[in-house]
Amino acid sequence: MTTFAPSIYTLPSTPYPSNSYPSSTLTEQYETEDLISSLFELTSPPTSDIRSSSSQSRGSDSLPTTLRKGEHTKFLAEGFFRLSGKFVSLDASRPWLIFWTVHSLDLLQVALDQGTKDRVVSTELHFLSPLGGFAGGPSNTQLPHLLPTYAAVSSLVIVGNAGPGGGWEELANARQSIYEFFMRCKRPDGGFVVCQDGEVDVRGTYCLLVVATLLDLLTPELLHNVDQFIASCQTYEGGFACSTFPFPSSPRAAMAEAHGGYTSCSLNSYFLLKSIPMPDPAFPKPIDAHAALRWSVLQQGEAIEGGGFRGRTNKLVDGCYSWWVGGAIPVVEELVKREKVGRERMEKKVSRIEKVDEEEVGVAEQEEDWEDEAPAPPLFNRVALQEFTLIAAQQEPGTTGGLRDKPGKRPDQYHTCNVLSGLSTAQHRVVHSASTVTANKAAFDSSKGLPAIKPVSPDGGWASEEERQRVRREVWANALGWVEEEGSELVVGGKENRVNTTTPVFNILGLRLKPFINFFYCQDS
Amino acid sequence: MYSAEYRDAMDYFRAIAASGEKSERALELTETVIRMNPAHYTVWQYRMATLLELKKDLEEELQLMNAFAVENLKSYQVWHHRLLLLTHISPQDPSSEIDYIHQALLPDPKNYHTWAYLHWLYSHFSTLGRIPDEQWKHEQQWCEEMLRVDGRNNSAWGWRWFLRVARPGAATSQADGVKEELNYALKAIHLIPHNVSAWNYLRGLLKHFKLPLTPLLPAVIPYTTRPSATSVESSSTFDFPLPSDPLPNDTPLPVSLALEYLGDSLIEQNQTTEAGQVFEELSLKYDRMRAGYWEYRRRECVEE
Repeated sequence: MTTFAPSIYTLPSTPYPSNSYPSSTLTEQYETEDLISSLFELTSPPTSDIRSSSSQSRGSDSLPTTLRKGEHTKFLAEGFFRLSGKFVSLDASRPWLIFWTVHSLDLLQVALDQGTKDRVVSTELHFLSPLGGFAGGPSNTQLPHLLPTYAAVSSLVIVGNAGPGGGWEELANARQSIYEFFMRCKRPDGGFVVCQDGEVDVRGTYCLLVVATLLDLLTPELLHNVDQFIASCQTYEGGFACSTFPFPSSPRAAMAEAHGGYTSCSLNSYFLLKSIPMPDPAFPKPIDAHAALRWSVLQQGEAIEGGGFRGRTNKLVDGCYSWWVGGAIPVVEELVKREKVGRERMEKKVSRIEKVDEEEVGVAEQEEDWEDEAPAPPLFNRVALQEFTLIAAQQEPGTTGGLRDKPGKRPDQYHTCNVLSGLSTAQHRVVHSASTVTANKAAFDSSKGLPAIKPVSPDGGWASEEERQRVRREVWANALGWVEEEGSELVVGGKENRVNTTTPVFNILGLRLKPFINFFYCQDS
Repeated sequence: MYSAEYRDAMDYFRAIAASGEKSERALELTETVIRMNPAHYTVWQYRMATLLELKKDLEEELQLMNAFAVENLKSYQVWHHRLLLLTHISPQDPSSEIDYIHQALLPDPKNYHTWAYLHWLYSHFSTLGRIPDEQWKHEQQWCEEMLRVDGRNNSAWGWRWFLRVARPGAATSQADGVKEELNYALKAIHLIPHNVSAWNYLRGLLKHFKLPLTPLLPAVIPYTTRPSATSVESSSTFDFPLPSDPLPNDTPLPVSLALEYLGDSLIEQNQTTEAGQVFEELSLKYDRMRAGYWEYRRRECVEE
């Protein structure tokens, strides 16, 4: 395994070659290389496999190669219960603060008591706007916004329940109004404003699609042109930009360079769109998954930078991209696999046409789904990313706890959540399993469901009830199609460093996602 | 807890917003809140609606934003407010706004919001027919200056792509333009052979214009430490910039992205076995951080 995911400690610590051309990019790069490599020099290699960790001395919370779960939990708890004055800047992002905290705790295997969960649910419901959607704070003061809507719903997935006051029932009752809010955000070019008079970018698209998928809100009018918008954000580098400009009579143009955060949003959006069996076979407009994969793996920093991810070409590594870039690699891997299978199937079809009389017809033809394949090499260095997390992204032992951008930066909830989510991706290999999706589809009961969404325009809905049910079945089956590959767990530093398994695309634990989506699709498998 | 000042301001805002009051004092209040919390999107929305309703001088608001943006370069709302202001003011000649943005990029030459805004400015105002050819030329020179100062500034590379390739009427809509652009990218590689931005730009061009990689190999081979004989025409007929001789100091070879280029070119020539060997070298020797990815590329070659 480590042949294809070598430890930082086995790699030469080579600086980015200067080519005798100094520039500010290079200066900043060298500062970062020094900061990170000096931390690595102070430490000895952690054991790089869970199986060999049993003999290691354990328990000490201050070992540099230990994930200091206790300290991080304390950091999160303090931020959660005692909002200090300096967080005024997050007053319009309160659902985010909650999501970062409860998801981080979930990853760290820390259980919240029921009283706290109930308080979180009632706080979130306070943010639910009668106009549909969640606001960044109390809905009597703030407008609904797509980003907090995603964060609030994801938090309710984690801390809510189906019982009275548990949040899920309230959310179910708000489905139509949330949908109408989404439609008010929609623009003809397929983009969405994030709030009334707000900006348009792929963060909004991603947040909206996750919620629409989970709450069973998808309609053709909502999805119209969304694929065009996403596809045109892909840049010449292979990653995705924030947004796109709809020139009246020329192709759309990406509105900036490729960026990790927007690439995550775009790839995840594209994956969700891919799960929707639209009547139009040209949907979704294809992206170049190979180019996206190449761009993603090129963002992983060198050994001297600790193997963390950067968010843009020639920028600095930053812990938050552990999730934005690293966390999207399983998704792009799946997309690349599908492209390849699609290509091979085309080739097979061609060869079959050439020899129709060889009575081969019908053997594999009815197989709508392809088989699960043998394990591939890890597409990014999952060992190095864990080492980056342990050595460079943790706040110094015995201080505040929490995880950070890089040494010298203060930890915060955002980085804590994204670093831990990326760590989870590095420890656990989660793949989208065709056989699981097939089994899910077989188990789907289309007689059950919440009321169908009423489209805003009379012809904005599905053409028929059969079509609607086909979409529901496919969307639900695909959302629950992510499984952890058996025997693939790889925990650097010993098993006490293990974090829980997060689900690609959604960034929620699988054990949270399942009961929630089952509630909204009324499935009980 | 929030400061008493912030809480008071928010209580006041809640009351004003509930009554729908659009007044001078509402404007003052929104400014107070925004100064304390520039991410408060609801207050920004209310401020813009009030400015429009009171028919305020939006140029004045823009001046206020000039001072404000400097301290809040990372706020989505500040930039979006500015975009709305420019949309409403809709100047016949947006060049002073362009100059302002150029200035804003000097101290922070990779600010994503600022670059996205510059893309929008040119897109929006060119659609309205308000960007004369002179302005485009001037912008390209400015972009080249940015890249001269820091050839690794990937934001500036992205801007060049917009100016030269993506925008309607870009120079590369003609064949000469494509050749010119390939030359530009190769020269940039020869100046800074390890510059990922320049390699990505070159590959982006070839893919966008559906051009083969192989004809440019003579410009790439010297970075791979391979003999240049294989399948490459003699350099006398080669009409693209070649690497400097000697190469710049501190240019350790091989350059991984040159090897990748070679590998992809070999695939293009149906020499998949040789391509697989190149990817294997990257995996086992030259780019160990991405060993898994290069192994994946190698297996693809073997399967096909």
